[in-house]
Amino acid sequence: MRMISRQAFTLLELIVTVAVIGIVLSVVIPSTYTYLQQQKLRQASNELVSYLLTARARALQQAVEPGEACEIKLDNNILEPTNHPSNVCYDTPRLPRLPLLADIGGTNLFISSSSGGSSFYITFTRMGTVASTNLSDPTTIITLPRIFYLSNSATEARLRRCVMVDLNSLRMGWRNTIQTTTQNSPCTYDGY
Amino acid sequence: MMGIDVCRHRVLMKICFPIVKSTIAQHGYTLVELLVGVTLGSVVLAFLGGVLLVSEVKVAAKIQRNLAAKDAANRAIDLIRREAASSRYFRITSFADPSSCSSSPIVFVQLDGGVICIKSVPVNSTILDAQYQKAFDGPCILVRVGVPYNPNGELNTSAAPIVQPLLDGLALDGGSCSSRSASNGFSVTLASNNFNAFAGMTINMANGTIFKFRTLVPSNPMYAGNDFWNPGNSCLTTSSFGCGAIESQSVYHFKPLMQSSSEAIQPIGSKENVFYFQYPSSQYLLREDATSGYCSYTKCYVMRENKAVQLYKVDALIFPDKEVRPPG
Repeated sequence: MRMISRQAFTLLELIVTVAVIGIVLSVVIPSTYTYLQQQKLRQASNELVSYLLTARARALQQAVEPGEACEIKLDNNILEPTNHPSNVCYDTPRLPRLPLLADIGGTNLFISSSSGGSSFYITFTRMGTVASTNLSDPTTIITLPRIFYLSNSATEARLRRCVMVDLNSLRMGWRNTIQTTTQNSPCTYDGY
Repeated sequence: MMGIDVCRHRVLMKICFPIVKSTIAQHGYTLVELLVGVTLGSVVLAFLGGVLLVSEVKVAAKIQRNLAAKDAANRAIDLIRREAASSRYFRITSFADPSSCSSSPIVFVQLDGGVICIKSVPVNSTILDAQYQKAFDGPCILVRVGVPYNPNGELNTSAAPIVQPLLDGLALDGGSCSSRSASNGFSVTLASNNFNAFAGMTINMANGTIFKFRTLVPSNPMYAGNDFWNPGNSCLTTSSFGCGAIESQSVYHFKPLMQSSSEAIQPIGSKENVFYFQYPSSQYLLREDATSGYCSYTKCYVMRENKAVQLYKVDALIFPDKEVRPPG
């Protein structure tokens, strides 16, 4: 009787293969997810800095008379100029409204500030500097540098982008430590 | 013909054409060999691609850093120029030669009663906030020490002076970040002793890049340029300046607000009264008073658009483009 040799995978081989693929995927999927989250946060911080730079440029170009400035408000992840009468960024052509969350196509974005609060004003003077108070809130003194923390979680944020707004400069950075009770743990800045 | 047809039958085919085991050797790769080869090739290609990719990313990051550093330098230079151009000079009462002072700050600009000092300090300097020390690169860092701004663009003279980094990565030379030596992180030379002196400024970066620029800085020839230098070390107060103290600025040096048509400035001092204006001289109309006459030492009416100021005892009017000394 002819013995036909059947070439195929054994059950053990299949189990090992599936296990290896499972292990690889279990590493790749979370790191890919983390990477994508990181990219979204990076994009959000880039958008924030870009918007601030545009506002600064508008202040330098259009705020000519004493009292004029460019003031923007960041509230609920939306950047837009305030309607203060001395705000040159509210003049036509108005600085467009920028919903950060929709812009990055994300689902979670939490922005906090070193100076506290839930909505933030930033006013650029006609000198291009960040003012120590704001047009809409002239009594509250802003401590510089002001750091904005962007994260994908309100409480347990491992990923965190930082945007430092100083008198005359803007810097972006990051930190990967779990959020502690103090939000002012240092960021590593990677450039202006 | 018939025989051949018979042999086409599947059973009889083996009889007509007996099977002869092929003795020809099969040359080729087995599946395992191919898989191993493809795997090894992939590893090698991935390694080479990774090396190339990392190299490309590093080059792109370096270009980005250089551009960012240049942009930051331009912003710092722009701010220094703007603040210097809209500043006033002051006098140090002790009239000391700054070169004889042991302390090192280089540029001192005064504006609207606020004091602004630009100097280069070590990145670990205690005048810098701890978070700044972590955020910026050394060995030296260019800082602005002075009061912040109000939203209207004027200095907030009631606020406390703050230390604001303008640029990092400045060079260290001879153990000093800032002095009058041209090879230091930040150095300044004064070109002339007119009211509006051109100052040559040099920023030496640690990576070898050098930024040189000139800017207009108010300076009084009466003080031989000494009013330009800040001989003190702290820059944080107007009362302690090491080699000298600041003479009262509000008595002799004025920057009219020009926010109404009824503003008037009547100096009371016996020294030179100097008035500073923000825009080029062509934008202003000079008269004796609101209706007629010529601007003179006794009385000078300066008008721009629908805003004006009546000045008295006018020694000099300083515009960004020229200085005017009214007759009389």
